[in-house]
Amino acid sequence: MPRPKSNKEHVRMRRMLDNHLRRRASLAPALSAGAHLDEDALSAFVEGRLSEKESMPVTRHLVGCGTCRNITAQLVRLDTELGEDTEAAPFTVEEPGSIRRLLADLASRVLPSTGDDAVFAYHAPADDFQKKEEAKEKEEPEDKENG
Amino acid sequence: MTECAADIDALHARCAALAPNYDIPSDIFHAAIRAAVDKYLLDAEEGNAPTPDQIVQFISELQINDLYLALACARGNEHAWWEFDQGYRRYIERIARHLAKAEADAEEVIDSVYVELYGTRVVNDVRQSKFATYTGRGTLRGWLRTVVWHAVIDLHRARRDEVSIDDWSESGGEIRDRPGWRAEARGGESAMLDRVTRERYREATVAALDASLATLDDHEKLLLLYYHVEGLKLREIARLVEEPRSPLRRWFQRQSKRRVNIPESRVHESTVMRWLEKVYGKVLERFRSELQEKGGLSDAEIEACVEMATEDLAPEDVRRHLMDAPAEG
Repeated sequence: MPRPKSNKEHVRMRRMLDNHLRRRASLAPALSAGAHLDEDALSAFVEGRLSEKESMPVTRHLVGCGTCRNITAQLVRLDTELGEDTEAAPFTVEEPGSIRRLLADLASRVLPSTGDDAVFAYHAPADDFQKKEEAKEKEEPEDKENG
Repeated sequence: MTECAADIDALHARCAALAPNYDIPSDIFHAAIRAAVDKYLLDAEEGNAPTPDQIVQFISELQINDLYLALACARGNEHAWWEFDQGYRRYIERIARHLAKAEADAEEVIDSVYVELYGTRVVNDVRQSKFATYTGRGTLRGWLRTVVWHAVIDLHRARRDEVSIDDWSESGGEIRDRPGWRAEARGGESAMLDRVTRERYREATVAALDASLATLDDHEKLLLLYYHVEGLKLREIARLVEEPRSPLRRWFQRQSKRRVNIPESRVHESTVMRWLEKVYGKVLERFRSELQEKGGLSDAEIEACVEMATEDLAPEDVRRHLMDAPAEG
């Protein structure tokens, strides 16, 4: 790590600030839990996607909110720890129907709020999707035979 | 927004051509873009509406394919979920396994993330999918990373509900009992100053530091807090600043003529350290003048304030830098 060419005063200043900032934890009054930044804003900030104007309220919030600031710091740290391996790895082909089962499982967990039609928000699969899967299932044995 | 309707229609058509099975109606797409614009471009404090040019620029920067996928997933489209599962499951698993302590915990986190993304609550006949909160401002990958991180925290909170989320989060994942700045903790040293004098110096020092820090702009405060409170290492701050479009990077660039002239130049750890040194100098100068002018303290008294504040902190400070050294060396 590059070390500063600091004089004694700067070293002492750093110690003072370290002590003071940690004890203060933030430079502004604490915010209520509902006022925290959401995942969308937090991740856009950490990725450096926000324009200067957009980031101003976010930066101000992070100065005052230890919880959100800590999350952004953890995300930066996570980036460092994961390094370049975060790129998507080649994915194995899912077995046909697995997504349908996944969605069916997720849909079964939907908490009903208005009675029997609780899962109405789950959109029925498109017909062509089913046909595509069926076609794929038929093709695979043939491919194997041909191979 | 009406001036930009044609641009949004063109984007919708492009997305629909790339993923015709997602079935996102134009009005849903328009609403999503409008929500993103409202969230990031509307000036809540001054109520200024963005100009059409600003909106067009903003829309052009959105991760539009990610947003289109998220919108389709939010609506439960199977094709979209297939694509999402193919493209992102491994990433979610990787983050979860990295953050969770045990494999079983990671599995629980992955499961809870999928459940949250799908949405288990129904409000006004609409399933509340987490995907609906994604605006496309950042990447879907970055957003997912934050969602997984929150899921890990929720799991931790559920397991140890006696520890509040704010306590856990603000302490960086562990409850730290920091040494206080109290006269009684310093043993024999306190004999040099009586309690009243110490209290006066303490109050003056805290007030002067607060006043000095208040003169810094928000970027300076945030970077100081990242370094001193969150314990981010210089290379991690440099990485944050180095994001090509980061406003922190642009702020850094404005601090340096060379960086304004060569905007693509790298931000090294040493650059961050030099910047910190500059801020320390600025704060120190202001700190001394506050104590002198507003506190009415003499040079000797100011020195006593500094001594008290730094010596009290020294042991922990030294430990921290020793811990940092091998990783950064």
